[in-house]
Amino acid sequence: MRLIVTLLFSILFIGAGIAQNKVTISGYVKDLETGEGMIAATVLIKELNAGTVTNEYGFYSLSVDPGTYTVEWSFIGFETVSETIQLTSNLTRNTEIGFSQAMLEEVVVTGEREDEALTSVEMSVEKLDIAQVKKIPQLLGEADIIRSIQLLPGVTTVGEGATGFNVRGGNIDQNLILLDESPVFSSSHLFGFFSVFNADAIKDAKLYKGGIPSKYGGRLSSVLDIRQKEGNQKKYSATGGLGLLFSRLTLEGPIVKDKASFIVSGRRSYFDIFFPFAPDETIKDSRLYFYDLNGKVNWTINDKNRVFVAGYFGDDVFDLDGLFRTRWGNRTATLRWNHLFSEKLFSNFSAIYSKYSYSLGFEQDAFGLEWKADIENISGKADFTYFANPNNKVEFGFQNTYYYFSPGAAEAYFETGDVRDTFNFKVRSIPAFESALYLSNEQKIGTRLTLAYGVRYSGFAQLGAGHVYKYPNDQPIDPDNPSQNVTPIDTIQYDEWDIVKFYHGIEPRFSVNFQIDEFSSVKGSYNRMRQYIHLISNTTAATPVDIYMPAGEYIKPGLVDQIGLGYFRNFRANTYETSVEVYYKYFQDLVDYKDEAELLLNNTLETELYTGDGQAYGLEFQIKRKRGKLTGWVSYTLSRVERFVAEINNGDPYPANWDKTHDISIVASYDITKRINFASSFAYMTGRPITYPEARATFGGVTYPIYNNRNGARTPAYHRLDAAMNFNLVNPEKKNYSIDLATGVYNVYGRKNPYSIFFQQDEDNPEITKAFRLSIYAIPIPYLTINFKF
Amino acid sequence: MKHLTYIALFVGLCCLTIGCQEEIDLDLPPTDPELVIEGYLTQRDYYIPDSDLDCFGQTIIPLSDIKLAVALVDAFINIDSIEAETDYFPFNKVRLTTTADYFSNSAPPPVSNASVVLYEDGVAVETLEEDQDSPGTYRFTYYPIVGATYHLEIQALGSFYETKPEVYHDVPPLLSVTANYGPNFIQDSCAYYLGVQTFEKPGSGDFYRWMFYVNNKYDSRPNFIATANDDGIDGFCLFGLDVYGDELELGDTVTVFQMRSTEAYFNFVNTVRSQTAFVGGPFDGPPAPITGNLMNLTTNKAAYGFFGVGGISANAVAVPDTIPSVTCP
Repeated sequence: MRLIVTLLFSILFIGAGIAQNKVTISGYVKDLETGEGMIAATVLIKELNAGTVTNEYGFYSLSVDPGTYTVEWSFIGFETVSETIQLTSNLTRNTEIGFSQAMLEEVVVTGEREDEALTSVEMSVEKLDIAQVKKIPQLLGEADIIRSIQLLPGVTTVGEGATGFNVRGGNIDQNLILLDESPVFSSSHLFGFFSVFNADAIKDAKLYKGGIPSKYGGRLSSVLDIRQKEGNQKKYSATGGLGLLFSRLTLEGPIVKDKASFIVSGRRSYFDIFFPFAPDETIKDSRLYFYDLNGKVNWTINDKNRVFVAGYFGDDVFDLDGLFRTRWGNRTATLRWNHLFSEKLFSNFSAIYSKYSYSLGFEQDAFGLEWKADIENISGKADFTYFANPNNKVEFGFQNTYYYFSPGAAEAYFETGDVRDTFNFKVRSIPAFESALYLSNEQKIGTRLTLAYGVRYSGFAQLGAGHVYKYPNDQPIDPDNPSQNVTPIDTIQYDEWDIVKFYHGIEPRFSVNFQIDEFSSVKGSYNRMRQYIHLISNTTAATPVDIYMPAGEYIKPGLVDQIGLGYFRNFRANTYETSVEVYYKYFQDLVDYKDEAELLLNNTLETELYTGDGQAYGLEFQIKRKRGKLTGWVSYTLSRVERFVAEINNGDPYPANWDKTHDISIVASYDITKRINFASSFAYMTGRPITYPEARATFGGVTYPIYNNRNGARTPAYHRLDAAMNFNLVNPEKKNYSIDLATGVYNVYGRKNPYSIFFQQDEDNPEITKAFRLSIYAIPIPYLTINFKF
Repeated sequence: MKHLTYIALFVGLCCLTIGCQEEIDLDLPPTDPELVIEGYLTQRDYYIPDSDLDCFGQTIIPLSDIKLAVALVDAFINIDSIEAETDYFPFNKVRLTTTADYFSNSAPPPVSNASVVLYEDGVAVETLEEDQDSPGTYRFTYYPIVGATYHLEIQALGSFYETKPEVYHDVPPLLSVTANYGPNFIQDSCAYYLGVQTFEKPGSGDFYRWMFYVNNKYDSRPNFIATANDDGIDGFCLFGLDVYGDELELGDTVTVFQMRSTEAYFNFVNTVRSQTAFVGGPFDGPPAPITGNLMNLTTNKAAYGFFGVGGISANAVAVPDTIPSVTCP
């Protein structure tokens, strides 16, 4: 409460400042070539040495005393636009800036001001430049945002091809992945081999690992905010690529020049195009593919109003001629309205829909099964930015989300002769409602100190209709014998819209930046986050068909407190950017699982779940070269992730599956000529924690392993080298189009990185026991892709 | 089997890597041995319904037929004599061994000269004698009583051990076992597959295990550990149920033991199966400790293995020597 009072006083203080006689210059900064709003472009008033950066929509606002000023609009890699303006009253100035010819020969690593890492109050933030992502060698040459993220400090993965990513010790469900503000529940295709984000359709991606701003919430460990392109407002263009196993095409252009534009982008794999040539009838009629379809339309109604409609559809499909089939996919849709209430008050209203659905099925002669599950949500939010003065930027807003969890429904049939018996089983669908309010201020104090402080209040209600089981002593787990199944003793029925369980709490956020000098700064941050939905997955790597469950009577919301401290220093006129950060996180009320937990189609799921705490701490170091023929980065992370669950490992702490003590990434891109680029990346990670058997015993002729120390050992280290060459075949400076040939090799030296190590008895002699290694991508995998742009 | 091949193909395509799995050498530290118990106290204590068996109103099995079948089973199968003919027989004895290093690759060391005492409802009823021809094997001569609770107290390896109490239940009889030609539950190729004719005892919370001997050789493959509980089939007639799943070879004789067990035993053998048969996939769960019901009271730590109790019923079938002249559906 004291925090809220302090904030209110701060806002009042800011309001007092506003009452003075100020004038405001505001507007949008756009790309001269495409008309797209530019995120994080800099607007500087030279005489005052005061400035700001544009927001997610390219909007800026600066309030200053009346006078004549030199205003500069700039963005790294673009020509700076400078103009002397006499500011006597409020002024709207939209500005378009274009590529710098002087910079064209240099590779841009980040699309932000050169010293952004030093001056911004944000810390633990990674901004991905899509052009750079496209140069990083990737599996089958498919530019992949999620795999690129895994090369950043503090980001790990359980193993090659595992779904999702882990940020600073968090599970994969602790990442809030937003595609144009819509939550994406599964970020992977083909069990994690490719991400669902088509790089051709993406404009900007930003990963918050810590110091998470108040406007974000609902997940414990990170926010990956991805914005799709808006579409070229100037001219029509087509971008695409033809690969061995994928192809993609993006079309964009103006609907009304400089007023409205569209972008449509599609991608499809065709692993299954060879199936019709198979001699086997079953394979002939089988399907195996994934696809994405992104679309966006935006319309600038006038200087004060702008509307966006964006959507995404994607699916993975495997159908073995009906005998076995699985399908999963995301659907998202966002309707946004940007409105300027005044030159100082920017607002965005969004209506958001998101659904992740998945199914499994198979049919035999006399038996068939179809299983389906999904998570659906509809959300409305409003975000306001009040540009009080050059030293204060206030953000506030709210969001309401209605969830509908369908954790599983199955229909099975049995046929006996001509008689067909059908059985239906459904886990109770659960509605829920989540609300959040936030208020924050970014405040500059003098020329060196910047503070960002705020608070988020969130609440979550699990709703009826439905029932909740009651257990002896209100405990679905017997504390004296936790592995034993506990049976419900009673049922409480809830009507529609009844509140089954309500959780709420305050989430303070704080960041500070003290700029030591022109080239260095120190930063600190603290954030508390709450997470009300959990991915229920007990496998080494999550599967696309794992279910989501909301907090309720027995499943508590997760909570984390994170502190971070960092030192940032740039060298050689911002050519080199270095940073060292340390962090500590303490997790509460994380979900863990009984041994052999039954997680699917279980109406008493709470009897399979444990609750525990955890901690993660580490040090991250990164050095980037941002300019010149050679660009890239080297990053190193030293970290530890532990879980404490009373019922697991005899209550002793154990490392999480994604705990990697050392994690080194080297990414380099070198322009051999203007038209030939070589890129390579190398990754090294300590092997992941694994449980080895201490001994063996024999029962019923079976020799079985004895496991007592959860994750007490580690797989051998992971390392991999990738390399790529990109040839520009048609020079875009001479033609109206460009064609590039991208070729490369994934896992150049064919390292057999262990995904897992498991233990089995010999098939013929049970007295012989063996260890086996499972490797994924254990050989060099070449690729060749033709990319084009018209 | 073909369908499993297709699924493997799918996984292979996903892996793209081609040859995902290989044997490796690994050094594991040595450990101190601990006691492992395996034993099952049993008799042919059958659950016989009080009246004719009504199978969903579609079939009525007269009580007299059930009693006749039981009499035939008892006359045809002499459980006590099977032991001499088979390579593995866990009933009415306790086998004590120790754990060994995981890669020790030899038979489990037997534990001789142990004191093994059977308790019925907390009262000592028998001290087991060690079989002089089979070190580490201790035999029961005591006949259990349906509804009674049994546990063992053991002195061995310098420690005092105790098993958790287990309740002895009767078992529905295995009325017959058949070899049926055609596709089965998971395999679409035609062959002879097993079918058991039995019924489930009314009242939920019943647990079963089946064991299979092919030509008197016990099938110890862990993925053929067959268990079931009565969730969704409480009181059902189970006719033609293939609890084995593998193809039967022409001319083989297959003997099936139907065991009634406790939930603890059911969970134990299921964990043995899942931790040995279904491992190695990219989506495995974490390895689980296989917790039995033997406790080392000297160290206050769990020892290993399981001592179970429950009725058994056995039956057998001779697979025909020829394939029938029918079209595979």
